[in-house]
Amino acid sequence: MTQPERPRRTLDRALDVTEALLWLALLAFGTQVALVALRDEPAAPSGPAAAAPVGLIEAETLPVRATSRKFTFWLQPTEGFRGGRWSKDGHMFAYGTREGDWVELELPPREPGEYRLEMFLTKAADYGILAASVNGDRVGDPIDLWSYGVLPSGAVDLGLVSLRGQGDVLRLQLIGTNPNATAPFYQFGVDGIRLTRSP
Amino acid sequence: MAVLATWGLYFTLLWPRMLFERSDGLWAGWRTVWADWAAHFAYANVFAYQAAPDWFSSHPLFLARPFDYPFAVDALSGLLMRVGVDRVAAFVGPSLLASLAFVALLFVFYAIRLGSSRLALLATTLFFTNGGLGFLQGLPLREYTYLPRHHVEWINVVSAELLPQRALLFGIPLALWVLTLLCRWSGRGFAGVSLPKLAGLGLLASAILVVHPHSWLALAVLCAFLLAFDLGHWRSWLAFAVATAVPSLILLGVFYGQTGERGFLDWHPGWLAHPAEGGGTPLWLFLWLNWGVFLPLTVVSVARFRYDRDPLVVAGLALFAVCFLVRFQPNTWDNTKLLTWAHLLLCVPVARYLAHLVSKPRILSRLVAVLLLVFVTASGGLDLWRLTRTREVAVRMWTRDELELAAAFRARSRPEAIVLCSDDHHQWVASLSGRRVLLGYRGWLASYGIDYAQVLTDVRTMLAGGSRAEALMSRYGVDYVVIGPIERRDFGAVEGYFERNHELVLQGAGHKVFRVSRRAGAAAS
Repeated sequence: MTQPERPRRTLDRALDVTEALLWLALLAFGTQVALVALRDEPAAPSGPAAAAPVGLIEAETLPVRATSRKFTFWLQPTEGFRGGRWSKDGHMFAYGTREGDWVELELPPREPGEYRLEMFLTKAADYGILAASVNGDRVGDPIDLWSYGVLPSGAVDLGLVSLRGQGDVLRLQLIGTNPNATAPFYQFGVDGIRLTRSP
Repeated sequence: MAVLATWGLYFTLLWPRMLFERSDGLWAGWRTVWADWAAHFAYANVFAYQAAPDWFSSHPLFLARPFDYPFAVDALSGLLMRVGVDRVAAFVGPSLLASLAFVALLFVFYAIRLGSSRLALLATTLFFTNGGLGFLQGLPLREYTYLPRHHVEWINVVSAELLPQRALLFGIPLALWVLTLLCRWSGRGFAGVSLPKLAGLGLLASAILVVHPHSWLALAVLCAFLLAFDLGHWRSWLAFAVATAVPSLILLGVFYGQTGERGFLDWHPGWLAHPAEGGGTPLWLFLWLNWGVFLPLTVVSVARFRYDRDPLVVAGLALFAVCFLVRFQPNTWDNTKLLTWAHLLLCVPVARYLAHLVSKPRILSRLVAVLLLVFVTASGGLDLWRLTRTREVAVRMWTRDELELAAAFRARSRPEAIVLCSDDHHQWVASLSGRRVLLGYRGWLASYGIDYAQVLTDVRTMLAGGSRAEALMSRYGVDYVVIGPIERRDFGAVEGYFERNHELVLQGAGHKVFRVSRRAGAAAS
């Protein structure tokens, strides 16, 4: 072996060992991170699916009567959402929406009279503020759907509504957005509604 | 030979397990086959049971628009069924042959890129065993590359794409064939490549559009990168581009003229780590859980071996980045159709780097190489093994009664008959009988960008019966109404109305079939 080769080989060896140790460190640290992230957590907070409220009407079963303009309103699977459970693992998700957009859903036929209206919605970082009206009359307070993660809202009580029994229309309209919301700001998701006959 | 003895053998053993008939019905060997092939059966039935002039007149799952799905592969199976080949053989046979062709082409592609058959086998293995770090969950055995509650969603390419997505299974090998030829020609400066040769290859490339448009798109992107690194031969590239573009535009106009009522291109940074997709998982953690050490290996290898000078690796990195910025289909997960291409290309630097570590004289380097290989392949490898455990993972698609009902309905209805029924995922009318339905499974229609809201409302109205229903059925030209469990439960079908006003022509498997048009009656008799 010539004199100049010895230090070069020593350097190569040091580099090889360093390279291998760096990979081992990445694997060790990365495994710890992954193990924490992949840990099976206890059951998610109860949403409509877990609570299985009697009388829940799935949003996807409500015919869309009209929309303010063309936007996407589709049955999005929610199995991947970690913040809770949605009924039948899906919700009707509106995207491509902007302030003022609305969708009108036809309520199923029932006896005319007064009913308590509850909505099961979805909250997320890029969702807007929703106002509901039935047959043209505003019901309840505006619902701010903003939250850091994607969560089921649970039952949102909108109070008593008077239904004709046939052809009743629920309009959901985006009237604003939370200052903390991220782009595109004006989306929303509906899991279902519940109508309970007022005594 | 080694690649056929390993991966070729695996696919040869796997495919017969993916679809099989037993005395109690038709079974899929894996959940994704169960999910996707119900649609593929409906598409193949068009070619098996409809008259040729009607093949493209309407979509088999949505009467109101033309048949604009990439049809080529299902047409092949349908035509095989038309000449008497059994349904199972007509689907499994071509899929197996395509898999073997893909294995061989992939190996050749990698062998050319890496200059070694051993490295090519390693790269091929890296490609088929993709998956993240799900294997760290340990026992009991589960689908380690798909843990949606943990945002592990870069599902193994075999279980989520090559098995269920028939278009992709045929599209990728075709595009890879074109790409390999182009690389060879480009590598020798297009010497001896005549214009007719380039035109022929362009024609073949354009045909990919009716097989798998995503592969066509990926090929176009890769060619753009090849050209950018080979500007000296722009004339040859231009000739190929023109030879591809002209027939492609014609095919686009003929078959995809109405595609995309809903946006197919959408700014969606983060892909499945986007807040709208479930949030909560930062992008870096999403990448780590889904790709593990594959991405760091890619980056290090690109730097170490100067792959920034390799147009296909650069293209792979660009495709990967774009998939994390733009949504290409209404269903966000479908970006995987392009991510698969990025993965295919990036296996080259990863294989090179792992081989580099193994070649070092020190045992520590070799040990690290083995550990890295385990981390990159374990989740995918375990999922591939689990696919072969048919008894645990097979799912029945249709019962024997449903198969017989569909056959009986096909025998007594005209091929062009129009049927009103629910949009159940496994509704037997479209998938088994080969008759057209007003509205098929909404999950597929949404992923194709079809706006079905009005038709859905009309289907509910019609199934409820009454004078409005009769007017709508007349308008849509409905010949038969099928009422089964889903129609009763989810669509409010009023069975009594149809029993009182229309003829019950068939019954079985919990379903009743009513004839509602005179035209249908004339043909049935």
